Amino acid sequence: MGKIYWIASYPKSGNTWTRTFLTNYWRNLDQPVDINELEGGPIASARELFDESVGIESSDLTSAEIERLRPRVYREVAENSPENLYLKVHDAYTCTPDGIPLLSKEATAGAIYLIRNPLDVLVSFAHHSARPVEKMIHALNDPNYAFVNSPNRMHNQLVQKLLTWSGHVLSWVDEPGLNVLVVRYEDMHRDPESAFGAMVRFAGLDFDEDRLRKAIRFSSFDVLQSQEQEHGFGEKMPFSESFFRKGKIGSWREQLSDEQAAEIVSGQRAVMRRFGYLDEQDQIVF
Amino acid sequence: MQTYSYSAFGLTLTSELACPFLFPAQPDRPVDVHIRMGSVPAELDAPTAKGVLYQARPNQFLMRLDDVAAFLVSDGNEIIIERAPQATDDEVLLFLFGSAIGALLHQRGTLVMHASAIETERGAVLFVGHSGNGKSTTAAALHKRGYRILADDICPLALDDNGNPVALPGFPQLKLWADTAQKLAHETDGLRRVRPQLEKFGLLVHDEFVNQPLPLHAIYHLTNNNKKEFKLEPIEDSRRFNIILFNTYRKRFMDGLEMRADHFKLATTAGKTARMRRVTRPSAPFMLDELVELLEQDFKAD
Repeated sequence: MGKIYWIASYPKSGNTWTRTFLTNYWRNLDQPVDINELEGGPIASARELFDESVGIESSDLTSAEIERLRPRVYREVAENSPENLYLKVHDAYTCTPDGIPLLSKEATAGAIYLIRNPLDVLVSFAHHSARPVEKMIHALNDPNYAFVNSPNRMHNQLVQKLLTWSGHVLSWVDEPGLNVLVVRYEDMHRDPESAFGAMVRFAGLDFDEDRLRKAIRFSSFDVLQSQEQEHGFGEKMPFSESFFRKGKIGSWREQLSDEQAAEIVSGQRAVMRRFGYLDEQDQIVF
Repeated sequence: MQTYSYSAFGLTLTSELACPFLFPAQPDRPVDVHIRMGSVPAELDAPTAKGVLYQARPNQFLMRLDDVAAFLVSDGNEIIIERAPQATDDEVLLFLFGSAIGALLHQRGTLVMHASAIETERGAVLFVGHSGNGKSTTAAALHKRGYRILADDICPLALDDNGNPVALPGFPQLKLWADTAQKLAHETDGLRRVRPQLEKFGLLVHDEFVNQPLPLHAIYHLTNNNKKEFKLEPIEDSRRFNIILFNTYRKRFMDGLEMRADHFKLATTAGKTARMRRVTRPSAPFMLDELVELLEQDFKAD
C-alpha cells in the first residue's frame, strides 16, 4: 500500500478547513496553528514537486508528457518518504493517456474526499476567483473544465482537470479499488466531532477526544477569518477580497437567482440527489 | 563524423550535434567537454540517487526522456546522447542544455544556480526563485533596458584565483513564453519555438551577451504573494546560505554526485560576499516595469 493520503475536493469545498483541522490535530498545541503554515502541501499539482522529482523542468515538457509522468512522480515521492504523506489535491481522479491513474494507486494510502452543495461551491468559487457567477456556472457544468490551462504562459501549478462538478465527485467516489472516505462540508458544520473524528480514524491517526475537540475549536471559522484579517492568507487569489468569506451553509439563497440555481441543478441532478443535496421531490436541501 | 567547437558556460565544447545558438570556440583552447552521439545504458551501476527520469552516482549521471533522448554525463567532461528517431534537433538541444549540462556542471564542482543573470557595472546580478516566479522574464526585461545577459536558467558560480566568487556565463539565448514575449514587444513570428509543441520561444542575444565570468555582485530571490505592495528586504545572514542551496539547479542531482563539500564552501563564500535581497511582488497583475525599476534602483545602490 502507498503512503499518500489525498485531501481531495472540488475547489471551495472545505479543503483548507480540513488541512487546518489536521494540522491542529497533529501539532496539538495550546493555541491555533498559523494558517500560513498548514500541513497537507504542497498541492499535488505544484510545479516544484514535479520538477525536483523528475529532474526535468515541467515547463519544457508537453502537457501529454507531464500527464504521463505525474503518476511516477507520486510513486517516487511515496517511495522516498519515511512516513505517510497528506497532500491537498483539486485534480479529478482521471487517467493518463496510457490509462494509468494520474494519482497513482501504488502511491495512495487513501483519500479524504470533501463534498459540498454545488450551489454554495458556485457562490464561493465566483467570489474566490473574482469572476461573475455566470462564468462559474459554465465552469461547474463544463466536462472539460481545467485549472491553469493557458498554453501561452507559465503558471506555478500544473494543469488540473476538474471535469464537471458531478464528474469530479464521481471520479473520486466511484473509482474502483480506491480507499475513500467521503465527508460532506455540511456535516463538518453540523456535527464536527463525527465528521472530523471520522477523518482522524480513517487517516490512521491516534484517536483522542480532547485533542479532537480542541483541534475543531482551533480551526473554527472565526479563528481562520480573524487570522486572515490580521496577517492575510497566502492562498487567497490576488483579486478576491478574502479567502474566508462566510463559511456558511446555504448562502447561495442570498446570491443566486432561481434561474441560476436551476441551471446548476439541471446539470448536476443525479449526484446532488445521491449525496443528499436534493430531496425526493427534487427540492434543494441546504 | 563532423564535429563542431563551441564556447559556453566558460568551457570549450566539441559536439557531434550542431548547436546553432552557441558561440564558436576560441581557437587553440583545450577542449573541456566532449558531446558525442552513441548508445547509453538503461541503468547505472549502483546509483546513489534516483528521480523519475534520472539516476546519479559520483561522476555519472543518466537521464532518459522517452521519445526525445537519453543522456549519459560522465566525469564532468563527456555527454553521450542517444536520440530517439522522431526527436528534432531543437528538442535534443533543449534538454542537453538543461538538465544534462546542469549535471555536468555539478560534476565539475561549480555551484550551479537555478538563476538568470545580467551584467551590471558592479558585477553579475542573479535572479533566483521558484519556476514561474519570473527569473527569465526579469532578465529579459532588463535586457530590453540595455543590460547584457550572462545566463538564463542555469548560472554556475565558482571561485576565481583570489578565492572570490564569480558567476560564469551560460549561453546567448533567453527562453520566453508567448505572453512574456508579447509584454516585451518581441514579435514571436521570427522566433524559433524551443519545442514544436510549446508556445515558448528562444530569443537569441548574441550581441548583448557577456561570454566571460563576472564577479558576483548580487542575488535577488524573487517571490510573490497576493498583497498589493512590492517589498524589498535584505536576507538575514542566517538565511543566506539556505537561500543559495535551495536555489541550486536540480538540487537533488547533487545528492547522487556526493560533491556536497565543494558546494557548501562555495555557498558559504557567495553568501558572505553577495548583496542578497528578497523581492516580493504582487502575483497578479505582473507589474514588470515596477519590478524592474525597483531592482535596478537597488543593484545600482551602494
